[in-house]
Amino acid sequence: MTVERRSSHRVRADLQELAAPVTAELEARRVRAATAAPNGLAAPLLAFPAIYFLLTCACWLFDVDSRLPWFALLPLTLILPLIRIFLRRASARAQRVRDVDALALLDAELQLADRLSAAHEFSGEEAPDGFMLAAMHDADQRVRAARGRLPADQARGPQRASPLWFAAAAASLLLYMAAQFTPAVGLSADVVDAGPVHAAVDVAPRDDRDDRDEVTRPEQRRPQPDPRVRRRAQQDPGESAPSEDESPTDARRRGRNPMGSGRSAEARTAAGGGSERGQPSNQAQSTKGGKARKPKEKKQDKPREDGDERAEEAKKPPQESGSTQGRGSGKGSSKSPTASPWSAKDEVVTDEEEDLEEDEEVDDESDESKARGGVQPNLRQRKPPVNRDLQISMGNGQPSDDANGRGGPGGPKKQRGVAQLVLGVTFPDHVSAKPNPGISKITQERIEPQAQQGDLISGEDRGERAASMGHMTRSPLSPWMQELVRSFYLSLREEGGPQ
Amino acid sequence: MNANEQAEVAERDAQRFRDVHEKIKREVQRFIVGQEPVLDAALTALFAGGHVMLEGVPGLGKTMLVKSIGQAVDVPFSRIQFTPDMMPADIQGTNVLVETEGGGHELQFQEGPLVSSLVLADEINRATPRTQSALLEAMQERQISVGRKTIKLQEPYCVMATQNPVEQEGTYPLPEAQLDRFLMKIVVGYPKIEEYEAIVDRTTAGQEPEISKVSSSAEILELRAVALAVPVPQRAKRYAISLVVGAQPGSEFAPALVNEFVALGPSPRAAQSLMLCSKVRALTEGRFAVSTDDVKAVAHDVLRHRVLVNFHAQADGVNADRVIAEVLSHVQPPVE
Repeated sequence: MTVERRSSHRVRADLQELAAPVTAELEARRVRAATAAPNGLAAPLLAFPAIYFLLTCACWLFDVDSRLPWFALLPLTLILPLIRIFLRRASARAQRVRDVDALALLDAELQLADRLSAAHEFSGEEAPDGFMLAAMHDADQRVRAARGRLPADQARGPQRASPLWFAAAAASLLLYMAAQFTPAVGLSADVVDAGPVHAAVDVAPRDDRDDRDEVTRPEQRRPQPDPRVRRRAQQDPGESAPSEDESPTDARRRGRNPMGSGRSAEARTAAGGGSERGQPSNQAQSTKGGKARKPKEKKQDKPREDGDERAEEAKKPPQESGSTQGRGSGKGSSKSPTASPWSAKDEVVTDEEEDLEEDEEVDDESDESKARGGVQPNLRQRKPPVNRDLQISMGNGQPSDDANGRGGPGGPKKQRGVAQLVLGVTFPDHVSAKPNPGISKITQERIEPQAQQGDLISGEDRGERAASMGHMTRSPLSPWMQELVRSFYLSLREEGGPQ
Repeated sequence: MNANEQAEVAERDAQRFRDVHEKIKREVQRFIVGQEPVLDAALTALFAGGHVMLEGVPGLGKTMLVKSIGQAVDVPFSRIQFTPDMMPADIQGTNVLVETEGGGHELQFQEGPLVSSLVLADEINRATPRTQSALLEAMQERQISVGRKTIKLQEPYCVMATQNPVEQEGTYPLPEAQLDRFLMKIVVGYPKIEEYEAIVDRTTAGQEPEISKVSSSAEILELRAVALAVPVPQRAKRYAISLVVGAQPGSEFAPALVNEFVALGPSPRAAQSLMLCSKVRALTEGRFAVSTDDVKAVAHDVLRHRVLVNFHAQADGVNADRVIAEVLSHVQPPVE
């Protein structure tokens, strides 16, 4: 059946007509994808809450009221994602799907091996050659079959909205935290550490907040120790209050547990902020109280304090040690060659440190034994090494004082062989021992033989074998064949044949 | 000639191409059982004007396949069994001293087996690089230069070489420059189990089937021109280029596997080869233009010997075919 050849313009028009619904569908999909794509909206959704949160923190530091009403927060949060959606939608609308791409999609759907898209391209040629015309004619025959059959909507999986949901949740959280951080609430950093729930409980009236602000300005609050210590001191006035510049180490040495949160913001700032501000480290501050105390008292307190410290260290991880946090460096950090530069610059050898070093030397023996787990003997109780001096003793026969049975010069020994040529090198004559009994022993006993009862076996015919004979390499002959063989050999014997 | 006549001529040419291709294929299949993809690829190279490297273990019928093609097409056929002691003069030809009618002597050039149309270079990797290099000029320039003499080789000229991938001792692997001259590298695999019976019957019955000549040199040349006339749409062209670029490490389209395991990617000659083979395949598939499916179908045979994997790939068991498969899955036909 021959199909009428049509001009390239007609073919092109038909192809464009075929591609039109596909193009519209592709463009609509593109717009929908641009609108619904959640991945690109996470950043705009988070942008305002993050900025607002940072601004609120800054305002809190400088004591500026920056609260915004909730009805202003919501539009400001949503405006950036909406702008983003609008821009993407406009961009998607501006992008046109080419007919050749739509026809390529149709080719793939209808398994036409690029016939339609190639024909569309060739139809735009000014002077198509024979093969191009043939390709267009070939495609024209398939246009009718393809017309009206739009590609099936490709099954898409559910769009991953999880980033958007996470972003929305994070934005809400940031806004909430920013609202909690406003100066009207008047929270201190320790309450922030405890979380927003505690912050809501700890709301104080404005007058109290002002009073407290006067006392605890940020620049004054920063070097302070753990505020929980302060709060506890307020609760229990009978107990001796620590000095102002007392470090958390000292507070902990009094048996107060600064808890896991003892690593508070102030403590962290004190641990690392010494070099930033160019001030002497808190290590020096903490040793002021140590100077006030007498060395004698310290020596008396030391075993108990050590016991307390070990008990506390057993309860807590070593990173949260109050001594490390409060003093800016650990016990060994000042002596370590890898100590931080600022601590090396500010190194002040106080009496307490000297005492500590002395104590270490005093406790060296017991500490060493404990540290090595008793694997090695105590070094101070060691005997001198064994005297292995093998010098010639000239045969005087005098035992050495250092002899301990491990060789070396000893008692008189007879010399043999080459060794006898060397004076003084003695060998034992013989080793007194028992003869080797050997690995086996044969003994003979005289026993009279005794008769034993056994089952008698009758020689009568027992008939055929009832049980299985098991595996046999050769099948047994049947009775008639056995008889045949028997008679054959008997006849041979009778005839005097070969035996 | 108006447009309709042009289209009819093109359709007739395409139909003739398919007929001749089918005839040669059917004639060769009288002796060669199975191995249809190998036969298709060899005929594709013949019609595209390229050379073929057949690689497979002994006994798979590589040599017999080439001989059968040489018998089915009426072209001068020669066979060279490469050995380590073979010299270039042995395949190109040399001047020999011959006696003239008057009793004198003169130097006369005697052509070697390379001067032919269809050359079977059997076990090409057994020859020394010196002899292998003698093929370079013949394969690329279609001429042979011996001394001051230059011989133009007769078209259609096609070298079909074989090599054994397992016996590498005493062989000289072809350098990349030599491998790049081959249009396709075809891996010959074992026949299917149902084909063994026919193989045994045809080869042990005492009467080998005779292969008649169903085409000629002139026809092959005409059909080569037909194949070259097949148009390539922009989409297929871009796809072929993307595949070639995608197999080059560090390129825009290269997947991670290529960046990690490929030491040397295919050259622009690979894109030319992809287009040529795709054109022949489009005609054999009954189409008048190249499609991306054609490019995809010939990609393995065209790119296999042009992708050089590095030591890490060899250690991890990643070969060129795996790399090409990764590129094919990574690079999709362009849609804007």
